[in-house]
Amino acid sequence: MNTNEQSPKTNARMNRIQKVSKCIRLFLQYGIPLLIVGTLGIGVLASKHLINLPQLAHPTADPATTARVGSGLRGVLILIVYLFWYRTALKLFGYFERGILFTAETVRCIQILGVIYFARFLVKLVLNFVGPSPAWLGIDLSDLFTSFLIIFIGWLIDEARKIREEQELTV
Amino acid sequence: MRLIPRQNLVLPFVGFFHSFEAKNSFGKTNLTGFHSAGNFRRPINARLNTNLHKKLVKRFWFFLDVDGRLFHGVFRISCDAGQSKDTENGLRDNLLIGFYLSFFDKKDLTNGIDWFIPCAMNTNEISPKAGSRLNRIKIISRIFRVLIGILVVLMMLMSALFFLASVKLLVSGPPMVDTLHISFSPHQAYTSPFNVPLPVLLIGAVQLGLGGCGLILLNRLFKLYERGDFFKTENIRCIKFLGLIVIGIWLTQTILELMAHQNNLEASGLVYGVLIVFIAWIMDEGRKIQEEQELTV
Repeated sequence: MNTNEQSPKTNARMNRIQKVSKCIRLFLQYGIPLLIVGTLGIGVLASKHLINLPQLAHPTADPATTARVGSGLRGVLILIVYLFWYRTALKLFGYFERGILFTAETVRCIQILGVIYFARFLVKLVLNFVGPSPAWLGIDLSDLFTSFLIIFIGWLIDEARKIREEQELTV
Repeated sequence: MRLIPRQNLVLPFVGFFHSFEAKNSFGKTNLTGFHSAGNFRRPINARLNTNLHKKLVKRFWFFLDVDGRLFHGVFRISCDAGQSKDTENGLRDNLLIGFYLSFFDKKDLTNGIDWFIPCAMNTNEISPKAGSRLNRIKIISRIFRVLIGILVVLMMLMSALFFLASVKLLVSGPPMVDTLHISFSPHQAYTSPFNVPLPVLLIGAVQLGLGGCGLILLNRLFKLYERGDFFKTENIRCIKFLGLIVIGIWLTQTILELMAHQNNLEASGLVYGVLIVFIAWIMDEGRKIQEEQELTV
């Protein structure tokens, strides 16, 4: 029999996965930069008093120089983490769009995303304790669990893939 | 050993062997799916429940025996095949039967052919490497379950301490120094449980409930992994609900921050929750694709 043909149901499922992955990748690739540009534009317009933005109920006081350096460093670190996340997410959804589902590359992307989430948690933890008012208040443990869950799922998929490869090659 | 009439036997027999052709990568994928059906050392188990496979089981039951009787059964088929050796189908069928017999003679397993007949091998055995991987997954799943158990105990202890501190606060009044902080979100922190507004308390309770459900689901998921079930429906359902819980926790955090009139909101919880749900959906689709391929003849 001809085993090259896939059943129509399988084709429909793969097409669905590819379409959804494409939508998400396009949103990440163009939507997020547009959002950032839009937010910056609104900020610029607000600073020139061309538009009015709602004020915070408890506006922060003008920070001291050391606090500015600290928040600047925090911003740079978080930006680096987000850039890594952005690049990995684009790569992952690009693989899904091409129909590459559970290979070593996709598993690596999933694990990197989990590690990035964990790194973000660590950065927040360190900056919360190094900052002017050290406290546990800014820490969300659900970030830690989520990162471990993603890393574990990636590792599990990788192990299952290796088991399957070994079984396929076993005579 | 009962004899089955030739016309009921030959075509399914040939068709069954045809299904093990691994001429391309898709065929190999199919091949993997048929490993469970290709085991002639033990009766085919209930994993394949379709009518087609039940018929196949009936046809091939007399193969599921020690080698001597196996040989006799195959030889009987060879005699009764009735296919012309001159036609392409006849040559092919006798080739299949011949190579099966040659495998039974423990030689020339792959001699002159570009595929192999896995049904004559014991495919129930897992290679040592795969076994060690499975054990590793089970050990790590058990470790995570123990950690979750420890976390639950710690949370119960903290709740008990919080309750005692509240009672003490109620009885003896506020302390000189603020030692107790109840935090629902980064900007929703209170020194006394009696100062917490009711809406914040309700949303905090919802958040706590979601966290508890998440821990229960995590425990169930790791229990399934410990049992050796990796990509079953139940596993995928657990992962999907965990993703929804992450989104739920993000939502409650966002509401609490908005109630504290903070505009500095983060979307990372939403993004990662959606990512987990998406991965669960892809795993489910992959599982369904594999099931369809396994049932395709």
